[in-house]
Amino acid sequence: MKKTFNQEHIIGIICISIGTVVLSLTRSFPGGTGAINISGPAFFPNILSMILIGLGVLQILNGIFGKEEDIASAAAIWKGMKSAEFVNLLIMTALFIFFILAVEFLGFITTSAIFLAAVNWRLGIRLVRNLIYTAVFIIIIYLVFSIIFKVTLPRGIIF
Amino acid sequence: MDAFFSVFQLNVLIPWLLAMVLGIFVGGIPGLTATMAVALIVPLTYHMQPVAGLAMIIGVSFTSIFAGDIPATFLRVPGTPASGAAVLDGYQMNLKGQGSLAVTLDLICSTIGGTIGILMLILVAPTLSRFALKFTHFEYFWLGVLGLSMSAIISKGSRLKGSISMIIGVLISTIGIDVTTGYPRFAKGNIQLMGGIEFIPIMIGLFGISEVFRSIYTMQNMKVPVFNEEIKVSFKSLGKILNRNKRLIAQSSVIGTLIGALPGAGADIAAWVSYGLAKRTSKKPDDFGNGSEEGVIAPTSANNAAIGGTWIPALVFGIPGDTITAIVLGAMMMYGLKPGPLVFEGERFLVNQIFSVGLVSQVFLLVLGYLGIKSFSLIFKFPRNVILAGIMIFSMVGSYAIRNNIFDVGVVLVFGIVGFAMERAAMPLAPLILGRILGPMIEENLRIGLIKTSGSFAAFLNRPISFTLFLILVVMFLWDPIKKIVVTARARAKKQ
Repeated sequence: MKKTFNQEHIIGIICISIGTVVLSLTRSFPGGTGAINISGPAFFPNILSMILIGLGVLQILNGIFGKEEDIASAAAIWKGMKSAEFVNLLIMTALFIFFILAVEFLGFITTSAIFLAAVNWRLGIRLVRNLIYTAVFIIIIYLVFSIIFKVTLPRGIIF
Repeated sequence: MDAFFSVFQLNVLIPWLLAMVLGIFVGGIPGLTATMAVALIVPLTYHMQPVAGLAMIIGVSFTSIFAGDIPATFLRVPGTPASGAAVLDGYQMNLKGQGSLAVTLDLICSTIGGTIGILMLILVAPTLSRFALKFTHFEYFWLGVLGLSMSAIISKGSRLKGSISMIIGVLISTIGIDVTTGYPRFAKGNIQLMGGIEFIPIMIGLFGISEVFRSIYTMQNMKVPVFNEEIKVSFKSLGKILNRNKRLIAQSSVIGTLIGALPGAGADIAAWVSYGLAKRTSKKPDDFGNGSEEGVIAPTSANNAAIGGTWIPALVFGIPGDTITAIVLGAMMMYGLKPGPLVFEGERFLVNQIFSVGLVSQVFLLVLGYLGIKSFSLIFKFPRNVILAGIMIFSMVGSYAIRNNIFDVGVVLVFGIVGFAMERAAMPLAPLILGRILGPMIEENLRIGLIKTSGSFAAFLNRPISFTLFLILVVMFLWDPIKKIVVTARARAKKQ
């Protein structure tokens, strides 16, 4: 029997938490007091969350009684993660968020240019190539999406 | 024969070939779908003769569904929803240095699958349509559950984790306006969430962006090309592979056509179900997910075969099999045609032209698909860091383009992070996609079925087709334990 906290436990707890949150949210749905009301909007999510909670319990039990070699420790999720690499991930995520927040204000071309130049810089592409690749990508995307497929790309204060 | 030769007139041939070339690029770019290409083409066909317009639509469908497998194989980014299942083993083959083999196998299987789909359309369309129309809410419910059960099969590693991933996918599908009551679920007043979470951004995030994050996280091989092989076709080795998998190609193509013929179930579901069944019936199921040639053959044969399938109810009854045939039906009416049983009598020549176009498109697909692979392989010769930046921006703009909604770009990011975390915890990603795709089909049919029967589940079991589907489901679940018992019993008998 394993006493240490392992990955199976984490996944199990997440499942039970999601299931519980869903069950509590569906309480406010019309007729959503249980899984009995077949025509109510809560019917299906309630069934799913109960299954998810059940699977979560099984997952925890697996973490306790499962074969030792099949179970990874909780720390394995973070294993091998170095701070510099983690920073890379954070920067990319931040750039993504920047794009989402800025594109409707600055417009597609300006935001994409800033986004791509920053991503290229972070990925180790040198300045001149960086500028060329950024320009080429934006032109291709503009041609394909905006000109050919008539997708209305966001236009901001500049472009 | 007149109908066959008539499709080779220049005013048909040129727009048809141009549309097929467009399809290669549409399929190869994540976020652009075959439906978008068809919607773009239809207005161009107003002043053309009907066969030219229909040839463009048929051609673009085949090339775009195939081309979706190209980025799926090289980058782990499915170009179209129908390529989701092709990611699993195609990308693994590429990592093993067999990317060239994987895409050429894709191409050949897409062509064979497409041909079988069209042949079935020609030979058994009325019979198949009558069968498909027997599917009511009860049968569709079991079909959806059967599809979901594939998640246990397709999961690499723990089946329990696969089931969790699948249930989360189905739960995600319940976000947004409930189709039965109109109640906005889990939206909390957010207009974007009321519209639900589209599965294309989920798929791009889970597979594509999570892979980008993984590469960025390790920062390894950044200056090395993504694909450094020559696209070479060894007819001898391809022939051997096709020969030893001929049963699988036939099985997947037939399943693809049958699923395509069911209104509402398209090429994406066909690919996943074929993949699951291929793994279930394979002698080497453990190879699936690790670069198995069978794992490439099954979904790629099925997704192109499904295109022929979707035309079956469209032509015979005027019922669209998927979004593309829905547009096609509108276009046919625009040309003054009335799809339905009478089209086979009144427009026999045009129907034969459509069949001819379907078959000849397979030959064009072979040539254009090969050129497409060559072109994309040149792009993938750029260093990994350049391609990664490209995947990111194309994924973002492609997701935005689906509904002209920046919210979908946020979905890509969220599921990119979720996918990255899930893979670190050895949780399979594919069942989540499957759950998201099949969730609405299961819920809608379960609830409407139950409302029809005032809450009784009996009708889900006492109809011949629904009971058969239920039995298949039971057999699939009991297959492994039964197999184990049989193997043990045989081993014991041998010892004695």
